[in-house]
Amino acid sequence: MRIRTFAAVPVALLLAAGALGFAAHERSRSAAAVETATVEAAAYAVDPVHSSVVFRIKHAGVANFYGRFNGLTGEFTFDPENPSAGQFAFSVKTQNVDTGNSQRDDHLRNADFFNAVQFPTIDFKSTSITHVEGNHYVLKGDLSLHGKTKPIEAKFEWLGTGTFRNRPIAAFEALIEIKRSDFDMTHYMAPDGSDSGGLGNNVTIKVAVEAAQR
Amino acid sequence: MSIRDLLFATVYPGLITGVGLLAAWLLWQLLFRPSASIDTRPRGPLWAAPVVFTLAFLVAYYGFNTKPQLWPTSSAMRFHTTAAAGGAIGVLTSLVALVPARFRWAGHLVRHPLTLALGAFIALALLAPLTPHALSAAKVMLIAAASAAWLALATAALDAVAHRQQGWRMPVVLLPVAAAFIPVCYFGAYATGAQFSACLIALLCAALIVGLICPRLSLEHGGVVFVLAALLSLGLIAQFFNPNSRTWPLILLALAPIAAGVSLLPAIADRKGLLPFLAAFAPMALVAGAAALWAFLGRPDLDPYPY
Repeated sequence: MRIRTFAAVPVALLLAAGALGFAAHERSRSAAAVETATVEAAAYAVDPVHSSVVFRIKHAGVANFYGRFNGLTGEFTFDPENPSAGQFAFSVKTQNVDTGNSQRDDHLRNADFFNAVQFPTIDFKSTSITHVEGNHYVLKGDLSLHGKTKPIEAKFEWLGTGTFRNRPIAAFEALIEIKRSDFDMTHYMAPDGSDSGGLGNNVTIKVAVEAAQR
Repeated sequence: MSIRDLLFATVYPGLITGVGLLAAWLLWQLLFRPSASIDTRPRGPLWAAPVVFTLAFLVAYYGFNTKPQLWPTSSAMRFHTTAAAGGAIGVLTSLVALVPARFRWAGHLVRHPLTLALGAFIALALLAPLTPHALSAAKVMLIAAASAAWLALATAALDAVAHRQQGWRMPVVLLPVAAAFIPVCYFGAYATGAQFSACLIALLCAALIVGLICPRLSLEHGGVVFVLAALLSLGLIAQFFNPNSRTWPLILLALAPIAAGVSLLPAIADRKGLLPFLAAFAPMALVAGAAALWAFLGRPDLDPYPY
């Protein structure tokens, strides 16, 4: 009995040591995996102060008119070497529309256009991103605007990484073209859905993002 | 506003109303020539006003919207459906006039709950999607109850006025409220509200012209319900979807139909001549005019380059 006890102690110690060793190995493996993931697809948070959302719409069937939305928020993960793993999610308040004229901004916020009371945000969530050439990609996702969610496609240009105030940053631009009628925003639009009305149907949106690494 | 917008906001709705009302009332007079008693019921096709008003309003709506929907996601664009519900309830309440006199109490028992339900439906259809982020559910229920009470009260008051003010008179009584909605909506940056107020003016002007031809034209039990339902819809949108809209002019506009009840006071109602009409029109015009003036005085500063 005493012999068996003496034999069991080293076996148990061995087993415990083995278990500890295995656990340590697993920890180091998962830490390495996290480190690799961080390197491969860094996560970024949008810097609203250095990011822009600018839109263009035809006015009176002739002129190009530009406006913007201030205060873009959101985050993304992206690795140019592995773009398909990238994920993007952005949001901007409809209240933040800015066309350089307070009366027009009020009108855009209300029931005739963005209906900011019922739909306080415009949201985008990516579904895929594919490489085209160089630093150009195609970003696909769902745009939620005015209570409608529609799949859209953006021309995406990765501008690269850098540092700002000792923080790693990244930047890109995306160009989106939508028809506002797809989102049931038809006020002052030509009956044939062209750009010939008081306000055009086609809207071009440029999103220029600077984001700080998280 | 383009020529096309002008046509759809005013000309087409006016034509539809004018032709529709005239045809209905002339045909009625031909088919059911009124007998000796002026109180013989039914006095005419009371259902015609809510039907043609609704049709004309929908034509305007479909003219303005390249992608019209029955129930748009943006509840601020549902005013055509809520106004059309007003037309439908208007037709139902007009049937009360067809009920034999001894059973009319039963018709009235149905009529008032219908307008109450309509008021609540309009508020819920427009405002329920704003919960919980913009309005609490309790607040929406409170507004629905207030809308129901207002619509029932205003309908009862204006139906009684319309019963006495036939022909061209009742459209004239209603015109100031519709007209005052234009500055209230316009200076609140709610262009659609102003456009459809113009549409209501066109409908009432067409009814006024028909009233000159058909002196027995009546907007009671139907026409009044539609106009009030449309105004309630636009008023709720102006107030709750447009943060820079002014509340007090809208409250004044809500009080205007009740002010017309002055003409129902026995000392005035029983008088002959224009006094009962003036007693209905003047308070409406005064209160609506005050609302329009209030909205005008509170207007934002005009830009040197209007957008």
